[in-house]
Parts: sequence; C-alpha cells; structure tokens
Amino acid sequence: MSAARFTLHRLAARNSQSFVRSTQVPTPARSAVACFSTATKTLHQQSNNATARPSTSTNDPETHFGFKNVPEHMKEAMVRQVFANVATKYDIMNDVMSGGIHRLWKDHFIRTLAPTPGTKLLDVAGGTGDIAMRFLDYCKDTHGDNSAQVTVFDINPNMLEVGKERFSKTQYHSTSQVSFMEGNAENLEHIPDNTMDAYTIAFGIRNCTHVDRVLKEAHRVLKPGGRFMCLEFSKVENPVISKAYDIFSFDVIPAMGQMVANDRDSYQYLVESIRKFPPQKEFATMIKQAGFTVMGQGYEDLTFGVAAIHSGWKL
Amino acid sequence: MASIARSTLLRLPKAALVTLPIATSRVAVGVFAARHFSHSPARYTSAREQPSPSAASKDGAADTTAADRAAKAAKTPDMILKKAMTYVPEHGWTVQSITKAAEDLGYPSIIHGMFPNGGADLIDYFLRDCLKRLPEELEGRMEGLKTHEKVRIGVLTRLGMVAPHIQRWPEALAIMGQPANVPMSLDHLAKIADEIWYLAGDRSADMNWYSKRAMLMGIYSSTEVYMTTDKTQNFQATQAFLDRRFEDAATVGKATNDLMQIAEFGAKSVMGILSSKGFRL
Repeated sequence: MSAARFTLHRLAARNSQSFVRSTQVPTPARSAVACFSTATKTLHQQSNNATARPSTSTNDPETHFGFKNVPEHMKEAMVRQVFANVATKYDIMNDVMSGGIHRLWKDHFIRTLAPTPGTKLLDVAGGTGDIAMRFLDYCKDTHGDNSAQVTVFDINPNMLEVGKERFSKTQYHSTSQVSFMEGNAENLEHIPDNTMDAYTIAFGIRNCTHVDRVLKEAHRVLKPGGRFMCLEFSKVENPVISKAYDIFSFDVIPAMGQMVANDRDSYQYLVESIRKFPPQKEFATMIKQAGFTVMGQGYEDLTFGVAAIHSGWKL
Repeated sequence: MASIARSTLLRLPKAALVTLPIATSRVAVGVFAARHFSHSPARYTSAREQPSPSAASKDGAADTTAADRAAKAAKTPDMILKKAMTYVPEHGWTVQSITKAAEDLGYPSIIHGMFPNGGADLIDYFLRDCLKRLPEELEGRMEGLKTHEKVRIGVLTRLGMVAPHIQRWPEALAIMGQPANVPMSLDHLAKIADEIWYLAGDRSADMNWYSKRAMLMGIYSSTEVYMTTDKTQNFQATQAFLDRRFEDAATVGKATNDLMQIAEFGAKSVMGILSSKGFRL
C-alpha cells in the first residue's frame, strides 16, 4: 500500500505542472483566464498534454489517469490508491459534490432496471453498497420479495469494508441476499459463465484500465437475456450548461475535496477522469462491440448529460 | 374508470339501433361478419413451437456467426411480444404478460426492461402486427366494389382483428389514452385510416387527402369504442353503428355543401341590393 502511495505521489510530482494548479508566476495570457476560472486552462492543457508529452517508457503501452498519461500496468494501483484515500468519506463527498442529486440518479437507475422477484445481480465497483441497498429495497418494497440476490464486487477492500459496515446495520445482514467479493472487473474469474440476470456498474467503469475487457467479462457472466446497465458521468452537450459544469468541476470539486476529505489530488483525478471517459454515443458503440444488443440509442441522459445510463442485453 | 365509460356508452346508441336503416342487407352483413370476426388468438400460439434460446445455443453455438446472432437478437423483442400476446387474456396489457412470455422463451424476466413502456409497448406491437396483416386479409376482397363499400369492408376487417381481444380492449384504450402514450395511439390511428383509404384505391393528392383521413379516423375510433360494449352476435350492433357513422359523414358533407350554397346566394343578393342602390362594385 505504501509503495502504491509513493508511486502516485512520484507521478503527481512529475506531472504537477500539467494537472495541478501551478503556483508559479503565470504568463499574462494565462492570468487573465485564471482570475476568473481555471477550468478553461485545465481543459486547454489537456489537449496539449496528449500530444506533447513524451512517453515515460518506450515499450509499455500508456493509458490515461485523469489528464496524465501513465503506463497501463500502473493505473490499477493508482486508482486503488485514490479510492483507498476517499473510501471513508466517499458517500458524504458524493452528497456534497452533487447536492444530493447522485441519490436521484441511483434511484432512477434501479427503477429503470426494475428487478423482478428472484433477480441475481452482480454489482461491480459497488463497494459502499449504494446500488446493492437500493436494489434489495426495491425488491422488498415493490414485490415483497426476499429471494433477490446481489453480489457486491469491488477491487478495493477499503470500499468493501464501508459497504459491509453499512449492511451490518440492516435486515439483509448475514442473509444469502448479499455477498461481497474482491477482484478486478476485467477478470471475473470466480464467477461462472451465464449465471447473472443483471450486471450493474455505477460510477466505476471509467476507472478501469481496459473498458473493453470489462464489457467482455460482463457479457460472459450474464445469462442470455440478461441486462448490462452502467451509470456513469458523461458529456454535457449544451454549451451554456457545459461551461458552468466545467467551472464547478475544476474549481469547486477539488476545493471541496480539500475541505471535506482533506485530499485535493484524489478529487482532481475524479473530475479529470470524467472528462477522459468516452461520450454517450461512443460508449454505446463499445457496448455493442462487446456483443450486447441495445434498444434505440442505447442510453438515457440524466441532468443534461452530466451522467448517463447505458443499457445492453445479451441475446 | 372503464366501467363508467362502459355504462354511459351502453346507454347511447342501442335505442337508435332498430329504427335506423342499414345500408347493406342484413344477410350480407351476417356472412361477412362470420368471416371477419372469426380471428382467434390461435395465430399467436405458433410462438410456443419456437425453441428456447438456451436450448438452441447448446445445439449450435459454434456454427452461429456474429451476423446470425445479430439477426436473431434483432428479432428477439418482437418474438417476446408475440409470445406475450398469448398471456393478454389472462394478465392483460401488462409487464406481467411480458415477463411470463420471456420466461417461456428461456430468458430471465429482467429482460422486460427492453420494453420500458410496459403494456403500451405490447399494444404497440399488436397494432403494428394488425397493420401488417390488413392488406393480406383484404387481398381480393375489394374487387368490383364501390369506394364507400371498400372503406366499409376495410374498417370491418380491421375491427375484426380487435375482436379476439375485445375483453381486454377497454384496458388497452385506457392505456393508449394516457398522455405519454397519446402520440403512439394517434400515429397508429392515422396509419389505420391511411391504410384503409389506400387499399380502397384512394390516390388523391389535394386537401381531400386530409379530410378523408380525418373523417375515417373519427369514424374508426368511435366505432372501436362502441365495439368494446357490444354484446351482440358477430358484433352486429357495431356494424350498424358503423353504418350510421358513414351516413352521418355523408349528411355532414351534404349539409356543408348546402350551407355553402346558401352563403353564396346570400352574398349575391347583398351585392345585387347594393348595386341597385347605386354602389359600384
């Protein structure tokens, strides 16, 4: 764990000029923008960054980690570190950052899934149990059903601990309805083929190194007719709202991360990773390429596209 | 709500039924009705014979190409809805009918999310299917008839497709009347009117095109509502109701013409009076 933390900080230091707000004397052109907002600057640097940066290693393929490029094999450890840092404050920070709207998104997400009695759900990247809890509550409240099952799957033991703690205070505690599993979404080796009715991943898939492998695994474990559903931050198309959203993301959220969770860099990563994730249509295409069938355009925008629900069926 | 609608409707046209003459002879109507209202839900039962997807994939998983899979996947939603039609008498136009059908076909019931509008999607499928079947049903039936007779047969044939589900049709009408589903319902109604006029040989390309279709939409929808309360043999009361609506339409058309003539006469008279008083027009 300390090695991973060291790696993160080393990389952060190396790339600090490109993704952390600079304390050096700004050039006149930059200061004009900076006095109003750093959002434009940060986004502008992102495009320069992608082409200008020499690769850190010649033979290892690179991937993005926020606006930085890192060797592929390192991303997993770095993401792990981010979530280890934020785990205990994760839910409170979600409330603070979204003004509680993430709760509405998640409620809508489960209502859209509309689980039927006895549904077996695999909730990937579901560490703190937000989706799993809503799923079981929906089954109980709508159908009076207590045969639905959910497996909470997460790469991060810290996040899973928060989830276990939370379920220990509910009626689902130590029943067969909920179980926890630690592992990588790109390799669900302990879950056999064609066993799940539904697969959900909420605000998790953008942190995975190989999104295509995650989708392939989701397709493998689902039964024929099973549903893949993803809730993820997406692209705001409306230019006016998009501008306000950028300012909020790059100026407000890291500052709030600093205040509430005392961790600016992790939240800086979170907002950057949102911008690096493919927009709605592109992600829908990836879902189709993984073998899923989509209905209509394949996604639904939430709050002007700040988040989107993607759906696919294995047929 | 449905029961209120039913009771008010029952009171409306039945009394008038006996007194009004019917354009076509009773015998012809009887024969026709026997032929057209005899659709049974049997056409949907053929879905039972289709193998479940899990069984199929075990047999021939290797030889299915990606294109085959895609083609099969594209057909799946309609296959589920077709199967779901067999559950409509029992469960109505509901998500439950869809989940039952999905389970029969070997899919987990969660697949019902493919149809986010639930019952409305099932109704939509049924209406699409009816529209597709209408030309087949009318094949060779319209030859040698006058236009208004062709339209009448078209409407009766289309109503005949609803007959097997008449017990559940008031529910369908209620679902179609919900604000979110109104665009879908109107679209289907317009398509029904257009299809019948087209099959009756209408090729007009003027304002008539619109007025004819608007008139038929009104007639068709009111007759369909009437039909949900009709308990007579072979829906004879419905046919009489339909004929009265056609007569009304003709009367309205005639009245409009008369009114135009009166207006024209009045205008000419005024002009005549004015010119006799020395006005130059």
